Amino acid sequence: MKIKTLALAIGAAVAAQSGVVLADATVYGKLNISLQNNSFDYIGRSQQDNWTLNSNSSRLGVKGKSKINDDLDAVFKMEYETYVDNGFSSCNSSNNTFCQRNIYAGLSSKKYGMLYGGKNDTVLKMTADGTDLFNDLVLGDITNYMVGENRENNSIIYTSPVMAGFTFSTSTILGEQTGVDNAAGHDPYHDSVQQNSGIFDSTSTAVKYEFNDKAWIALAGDVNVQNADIVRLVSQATFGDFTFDAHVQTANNHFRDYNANGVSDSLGDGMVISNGRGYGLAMSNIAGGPNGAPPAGTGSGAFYTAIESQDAWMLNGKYQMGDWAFKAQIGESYSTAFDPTAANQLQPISPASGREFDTTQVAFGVDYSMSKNVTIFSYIAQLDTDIDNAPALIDDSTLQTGGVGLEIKF
Amino acid sequence: MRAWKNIIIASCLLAASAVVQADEAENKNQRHMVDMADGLNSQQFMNAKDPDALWSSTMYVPWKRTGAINAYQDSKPSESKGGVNAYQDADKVPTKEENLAMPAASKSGEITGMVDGKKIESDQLVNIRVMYGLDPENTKAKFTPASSQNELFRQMSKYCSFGFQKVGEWSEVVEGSDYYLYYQFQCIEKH
Repeated sequence: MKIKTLALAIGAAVAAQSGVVLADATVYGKLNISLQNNSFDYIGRSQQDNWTLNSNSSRLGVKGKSKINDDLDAVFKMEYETYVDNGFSSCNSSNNTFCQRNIYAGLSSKKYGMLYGGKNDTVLKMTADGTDLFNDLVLGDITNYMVGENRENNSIIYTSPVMAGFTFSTSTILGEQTGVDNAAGHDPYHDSVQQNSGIFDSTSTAVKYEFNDKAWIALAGDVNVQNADIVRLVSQATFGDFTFDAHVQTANNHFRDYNANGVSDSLGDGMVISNGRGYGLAMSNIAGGPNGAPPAGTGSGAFYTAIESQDAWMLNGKYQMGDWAFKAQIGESYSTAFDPTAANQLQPISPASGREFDTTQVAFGVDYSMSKNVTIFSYIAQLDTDIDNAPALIDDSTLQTGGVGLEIKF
Repeated sequence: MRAWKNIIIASCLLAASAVVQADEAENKNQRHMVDMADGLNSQQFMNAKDPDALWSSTMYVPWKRTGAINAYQDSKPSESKGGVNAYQDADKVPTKEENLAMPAASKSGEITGMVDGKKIESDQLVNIRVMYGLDPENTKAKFTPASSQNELFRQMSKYCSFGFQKVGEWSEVVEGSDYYLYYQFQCIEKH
């Protein structure tokens, strides 16, 4: 309250002196930190066992709107992630204190919906909307094993008003490639490197239906977003103090490999998985991978950096008992990796040993609401990755973590 | 996926069941603005008001402020946008109004304001009001615009032992040329 009073006083003074009519603006955000005990058993590699203090997508946002007429508002949002644990942002090379999250400007009409452009979560990602009970947490977030959780630059998004329970949303994502192939005589539109130079090369679309305020279902699709074509079905239902969520999706690589050589040329080489978390972390630490030391005598090993196709699902449930919430979540993705590169067709993984791997997640958590906007939480999560038909591997990957944390929303 | 069909069926059943089943239990999950920000319904997020937001431009509009209490009685359930109401409200045309929550003068030097049995803290925004009429020949109010200010200053002095800061005022039409004059204030602390 004292902070608000101070903000009030400063703002009032500024407004009084400048005579500015302020737009309807709000500063909001949250801080989420947790103490984690991690036990990561990588594939064919020694164990990691440590304690960490994590900032879990803590953020600061400003949203606002300025009235144009009775129907139309100009709207904006600027949201930045901040790193409570060490003040360090790894989201870009300059290591800024703040990392850009969703930022846009647009127009909002009560009758016709909202049109906006900027950097934003894809429409498909937005359908998840509160269904991931361990969102943002280490090994908890579904992005640890499921493709489609993307935030895209150069997005133009339209969202309809809610009509008879239905909301429709669609976006186009501009790749901003030159559209010109440097090689003489090559048609740029047959070169995967330059496929994303048009206005509708990448799209993300969803339809959501709200049965009532306790149940909804959404169907979403991505076309050529991060190389992926995805269809996702999401549902949430609340029965008394119980809430259940379900995800199911299928994803396929949008481009074939035009070079047919497996060499990374930005496009056509599968859905790239981050080597910083979840199954990507496990994969990149395969012996011989980017982070993994090869076992003695095996030489360089092949590793999976991208996915050709994936099917995934997630189910969870939450029981609210007063200020306490008890949560459980399970999920699985079954992926076919893009071909290991020719240069890496050595031990322990080779094309002959198969390209399929299965990742399963199990997580349990307990939250306690200390007040309306302050929650303490604890959880445990495990992510297992099993590579089929790879007998040369010592074992599969098991990543485990347990955390206690504090979340303050404002 | 091996479990695909079962999952699709399960999710559809979950949603459909909720339609049929009218669930009376209250959902205790409170949706905060920061949670709405990542959702599909961007218009809902844009229109959302969150009393717990760190800062809002509506803080400059006293009748929109959150966190104030109304130190008056309302015929409807008292739900202030940000403070305590210290005045009486009525759906019907009010009669000559008296403040219902006027505290007794303090001799101890402490802040004396009590609203709904709770002491007013020095950083608490409080709303009070009186009715005034612009037409002396046709009014149900006992105050004029000038005398209503005197009355509200008198009330503030009763609530706060060490002084007060008026942070906003506005008028709301009651009927015809009769209005409520609202003051929003907070008590100051002893220096």
